[in-house]
Amino acid sequence: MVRARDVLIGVAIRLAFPPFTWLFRALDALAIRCSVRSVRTAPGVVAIYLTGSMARHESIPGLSDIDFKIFVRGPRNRSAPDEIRRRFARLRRFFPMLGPPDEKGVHFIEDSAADLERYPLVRHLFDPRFYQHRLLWGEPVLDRLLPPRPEGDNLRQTLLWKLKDWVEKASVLAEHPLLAPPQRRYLLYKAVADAGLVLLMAGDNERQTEGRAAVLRELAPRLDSCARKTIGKLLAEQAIRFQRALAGPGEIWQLFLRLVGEALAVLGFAPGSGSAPPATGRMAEVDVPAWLREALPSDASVAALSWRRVPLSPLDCAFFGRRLLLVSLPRPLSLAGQVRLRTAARPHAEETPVMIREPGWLRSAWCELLDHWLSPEVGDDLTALLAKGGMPPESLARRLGAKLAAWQAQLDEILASQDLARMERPRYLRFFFAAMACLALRGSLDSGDFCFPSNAHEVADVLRRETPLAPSFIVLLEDEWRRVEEEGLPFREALFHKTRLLLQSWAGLSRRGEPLDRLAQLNDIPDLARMTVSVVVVTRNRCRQLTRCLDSLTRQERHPDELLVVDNGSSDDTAGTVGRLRAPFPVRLVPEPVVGVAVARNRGLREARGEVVAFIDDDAVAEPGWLAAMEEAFLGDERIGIVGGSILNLDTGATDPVSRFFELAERLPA
Amino acid sequence: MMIPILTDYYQAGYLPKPRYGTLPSFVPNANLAVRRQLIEEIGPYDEACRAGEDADLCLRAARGGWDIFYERRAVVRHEPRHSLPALVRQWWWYGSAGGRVFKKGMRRRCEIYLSLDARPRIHRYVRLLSADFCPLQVLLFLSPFLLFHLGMFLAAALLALGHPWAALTLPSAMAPVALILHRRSSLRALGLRDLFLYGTLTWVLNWACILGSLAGGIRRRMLFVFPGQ
Repeated sequence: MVRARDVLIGVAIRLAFPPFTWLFRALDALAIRCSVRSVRTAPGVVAIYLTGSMARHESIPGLSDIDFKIFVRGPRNRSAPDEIRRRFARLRRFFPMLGPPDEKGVHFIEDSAADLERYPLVRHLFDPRFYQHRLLWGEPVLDRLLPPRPEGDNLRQTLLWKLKDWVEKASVLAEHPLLAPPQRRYLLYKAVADAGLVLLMAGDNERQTEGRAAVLRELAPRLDSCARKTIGKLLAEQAIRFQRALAGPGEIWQLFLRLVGEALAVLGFAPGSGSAPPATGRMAEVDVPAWLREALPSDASVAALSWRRVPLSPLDCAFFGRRLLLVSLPRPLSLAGQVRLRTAARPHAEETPVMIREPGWLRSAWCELLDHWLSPEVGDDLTALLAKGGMPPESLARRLGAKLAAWQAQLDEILASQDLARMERPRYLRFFFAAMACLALRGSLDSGDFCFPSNAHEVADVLRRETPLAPSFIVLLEDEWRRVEEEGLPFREALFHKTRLLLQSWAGLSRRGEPLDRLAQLNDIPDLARMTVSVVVVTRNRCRQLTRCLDSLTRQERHPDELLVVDNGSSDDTAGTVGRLRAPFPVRLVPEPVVGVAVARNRGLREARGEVVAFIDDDAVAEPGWLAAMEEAFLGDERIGIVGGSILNLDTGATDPVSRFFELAERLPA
Repeated sequence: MMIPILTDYYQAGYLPKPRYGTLPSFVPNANLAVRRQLIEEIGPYDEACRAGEDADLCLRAARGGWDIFYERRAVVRHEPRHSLPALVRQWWWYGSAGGRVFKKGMRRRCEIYLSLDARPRIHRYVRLLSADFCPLQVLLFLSPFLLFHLGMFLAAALLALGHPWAALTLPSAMAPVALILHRRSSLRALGLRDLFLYGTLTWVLNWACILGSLAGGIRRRMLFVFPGQ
């Protein structure tokens, strides 16, 4: 199969003359059209960009990969990437040139903005100097994402980042078993071209262009005529050159390494060794340490790579600057496999660092960003974040202690009732995240350093150490984690998101990290596991039923924090009914003269103060556990925005056919 | 057929995510609680909606990435309508005013959905057709109820055109399907009298909803058919 594909691609490259070029272009255009048609209906998709050389209408028949950048709205819309990937996988059956679906860039707009703010280096992903973009569908978001910086951005850093990106990619694709040889060569060529590009840009910016161009000429005869051309044309020129020459991969690889070394020297990271290429190369025979051999799956390939240090960011500290083992995996590892590999590698991290690349390596940059987020250095940021909420750390610590105690009590109760199997999922996920964040935060507040656990087993260890939980509960949590993993929610992402939200909400911040006005009220509430709930009843000329409804609300197990009755233009004794109500919570009558359910409900929403607003019809009666169940559902998961409940038939004792009909409707099982 | 308003029609837990080709599910207004942050993010109820503002809110929430949760333990008992005319008027109202919500959610000029789910799961339709090239804005929700009546209408037309044997094939093909559907549905638990009462009322209400939606659609210059349940 792979042979056949190689042959086909080889043929396609050699057929690069009309009318075949037209045919290939038409096929590519069709693939792009179909992709847009399919992807734009995915939930939350805001814009679809075509990127790379295709965006500039430059393509090599049969070789150019079609890259998309898809922007998705909503920081919680975590199912969107999977959905998009699924659609691309479906399309790929018909259009193989779409490439593996894993490599389609899906960006969350809100998160991107925040990440760009924090990590300016990621800008190169959206920078037109590095990636051309063409808007295919939706509203243009790139301008919004990349506001022009007054002092000009840090080009050097960005170039370095780009370079680092290519080093990783190129080192993987030299070994990648899933790529056909021509594809691999093409990608390597792109790496070369980019390295040359970096060299040129760096030279332009920092030192004399002429000298660099001379070095370039000396280094690579292939690039000499490109050196003086504009940067934008370099890629296309090289493409044609490569296509004609079809140079061997080894040659290109050496060229690439030398170029990268040169670029690093230009960028000032290896003073004094400007002209010397880094002492490196792939080694065919690598002596794989025994511990690694045991932990690796049999089909993984290992290569050695030496590199000089690039003190670029905290992300680099583990890998760059020395010899490391590059493990490329042909398929994603299972969670257990990953854990095994990581635990095996941990004690040897000092002498033999291992870089592991899975098939989805293009997204590695994002993963490492997340890594960085979860690294110990982030403690300061988080403390700053919490300080932004205005809560003194001591009170936070005290509160967390109380919260933890409360949770332990609840857990003890659950464990005592032996009802673990039937415990609902959101509830124990809540316990899980909350307990974890609690422990992490408490630890950080006590000792001053902040550290998230990085996998389920570590979490379980922490829980085991810190709380007197039954082992079965921990097994259950690990189980749950596995399920989360299987659903495709990456571990770190989920961990990151959930804990961050929890911490924010405890610190009195909104989801977007802004301080909330109600912080003062929040501070008065002794238990933070409780939310403030307002109940809104919209009524119009239903005095009798309203009395019944309000009575049922006063009989709730969990009292509402306030009750609003929106009077939507009644002409009967509604005001009197509300006035006569004796309730242990504040009751307000809000008149809304404009008739309309939505208008009245919006009025209620505006007037209500609670974090949750519960609506009930005026002719309905709430069961005593109604509000408590609602609140519990909201507490269970931060992503739940709306909770609905059962609506059953109120038995009024009538026997007419219509009542009988409703009775039947309720009796029929769903 | 089913009455969605008064039964709990979902599995407890998270409502199904909006998927390709289906409409998102919603929870009705009579027993609903929202988080304030959601309202701050996606805005309040659409005040131009005369009915179905709950569906609209849930749709926007689901598209904005929020989860909707169905909590079975939060029980509210709702007083039923007292008379048949009031009930019919209510369903007519659902049909005629619901068009706005669906029209807002439409992305193409012509969209046809199909629901062959015999169990009472409201608003889980599979997209059958969506196209931009259409002289009139069309939004159709096809249900077994509607398809059955369409078949009967075809049979009557064939009969009128003088093809009695051809006309017979349609009902005879449909009869076993109807029988199987009945055997599989929960309706078989009912006695004959209750079945008659339930069937008649459901039939009336469904037609009220269909006619209401047609009338509402004409007012909005579109062809809109919503067959109730």
